[in-house]
Amino acid sequence: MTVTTDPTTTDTATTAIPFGDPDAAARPIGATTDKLTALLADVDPAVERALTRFLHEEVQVLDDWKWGEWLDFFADDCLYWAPTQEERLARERSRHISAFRTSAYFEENKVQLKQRVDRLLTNQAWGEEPPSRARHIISNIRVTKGVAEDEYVVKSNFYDYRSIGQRSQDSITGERTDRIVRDPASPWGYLIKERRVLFDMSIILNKNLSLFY
Amino acid sequence: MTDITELIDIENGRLSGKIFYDQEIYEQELEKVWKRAWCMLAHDSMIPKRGDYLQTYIGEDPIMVVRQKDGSVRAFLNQCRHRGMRICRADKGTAKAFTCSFHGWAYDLAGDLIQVPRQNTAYPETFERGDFGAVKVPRIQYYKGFWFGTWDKDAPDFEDYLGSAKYYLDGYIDRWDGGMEQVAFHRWVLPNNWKFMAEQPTSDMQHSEITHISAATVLNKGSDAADRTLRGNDPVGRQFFADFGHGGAWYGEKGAEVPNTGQAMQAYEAQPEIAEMIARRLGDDREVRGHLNIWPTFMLLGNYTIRVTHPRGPHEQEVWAWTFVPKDAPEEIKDSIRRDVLRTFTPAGMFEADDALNWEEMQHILKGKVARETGYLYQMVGAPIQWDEGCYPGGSSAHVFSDNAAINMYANYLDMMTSDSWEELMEKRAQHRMGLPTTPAAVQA
Ligand code: FES
Ligand SMILES: [Fe+2]
Repeated sequence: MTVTTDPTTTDTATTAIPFGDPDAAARPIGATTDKLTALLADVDPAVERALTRFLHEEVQVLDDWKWGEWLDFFADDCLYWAPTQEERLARERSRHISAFRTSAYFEENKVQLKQRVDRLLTNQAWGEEPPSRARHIISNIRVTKGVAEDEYVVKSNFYDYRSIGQRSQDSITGERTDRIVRDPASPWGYLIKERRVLFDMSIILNKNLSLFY
Repeated sequence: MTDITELIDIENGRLSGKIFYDQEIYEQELEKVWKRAWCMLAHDSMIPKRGDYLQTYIGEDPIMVVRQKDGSVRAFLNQCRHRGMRICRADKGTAKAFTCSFHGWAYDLAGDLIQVPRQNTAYPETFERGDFGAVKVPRIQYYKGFWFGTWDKDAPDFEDYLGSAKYYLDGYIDRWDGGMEQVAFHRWVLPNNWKFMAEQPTSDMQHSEITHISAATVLNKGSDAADRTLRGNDPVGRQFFADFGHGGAWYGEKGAEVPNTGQAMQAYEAQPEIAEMIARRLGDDREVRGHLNIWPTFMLLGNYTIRVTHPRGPHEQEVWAWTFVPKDAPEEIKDSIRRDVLRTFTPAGMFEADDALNWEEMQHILKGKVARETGYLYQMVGAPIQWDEGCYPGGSSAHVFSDNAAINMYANYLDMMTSDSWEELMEKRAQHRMGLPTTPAAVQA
């Protein structure tokens, strides 16, 4: 499996999802005042259901080792970003997550994601040969409206469990913040424009992060 | 006690798996290696302002490194003298003092004890705070932006400890008039003995061809990643080693190329004024920059990832890896270095992922009694050793693939483990250097 990439398209995108939730619950929705009703009214239930299923399908594709197909979930101009965290005292807590364009485990555009996929598909990526069995468990999916039309900010928590080799296993937890747009032309009807993966560990206790999160 | 001389056979290039496995040997390492060697503690750019601190380790001992009010740097054991609690539990930050969270003893930026709750009413008058400051790292030395420390008062000065490795280290850290700065930091844990990793930048360039083939294959296709071509049948380059176990290797002839950085960086270094600056600082033969390890675990890779590993028992280590950039370089260049490192030599890095797997398996297999006794081979010594050859100080071989630097690393390890003082160690090292106790091929030469 080989792929030729265009060097002019390998630059990483320059935007990043803001850390905070879009505060949908605070938006006045007609006469409704309670927070939950406001949140539910913010997004069409059919869209919420679609996006929930979209994310479940996405992780299943990963768990089925269909890394190439996984790329179909991402927009061509996507950003896949995973900042690092540090132990900081509460008074310096605003700095415990690394800023965009500083420390990161991933800072990938689509071309670069594809490179990572192509590496796994060489059958010589020894860290995943024989391939590990992974279970991506996602939960706490919260869909809110994005800034643009047909754009949603979806937060979810994950617990990724990996079994590798005869006796090795590891797991990692964290939160994903996705910016997803409706795109009827994509195979899944939606595309991930940005994903921020926030691992909970300040020191990664796993020997590597050779999969996707 | 285990007789380690029976586990390391320098003449024949053989090691016993036990040195990577035994708890008893590990305890001896903490005493004889980690309490004696110079270890990297911090870089200026990590603690720029007064009161800036970071927490690191020398071996398993937690160390606070603190920028003092007068701009100097001090280091002390991060352990409360009262009941042994970790004084500071943040990785880094800015502070005026450090207060222990157990009973509230407070220490100043130098680690001196400045406050003891209830001292006046509950302690005898004879109690002196001055007797219970945090344990200081007795020797700290500054070298080109980096702070190093050792517990051993009798250790040679840091520059003498570097010896001929100074020339090569300068090739990484002394290229730039404006110095370097740290822009990213990654930490992760590997389930293997710390020496497996130390050996790699010291000596083992050859594993790349096999271990990293998947990463090299995809990265060499049209990206601005480093040129990590695996050089086919013509691995031109050289390996070197220095007296106290340091070693390194690089591809290419002198002055010819710096193959480990990205295209953008290579173009930047090729600009006449930049090339001139580097030549002025280093001499025009000093293009060498590949893998380097300053014993025990201060590692530099050619693409500006600089790391220290901390041992965590015989079966585990923690990797602390920073991305450095030339401070005065344009933002695009800094960013291209940063992105190249994060995609290659971090826990999610495409190179790093495969190293981890090898070392984990090697470690796991050592549980077997027979496997532990089978022994490892270091017999790739086809290129003879030369001393202070041409422009290259120290011992070196005119082939990028060789086990000579690894053998030298383990010879130094053996000498450290069997010496009770730096004086004894220096004697042994001098003997072994001059006697060149290596392989038949080397002795012939
Ligand atoms: S252990 Fe630190 S104050 Fe008691
Ligand atoms: Fe490697």
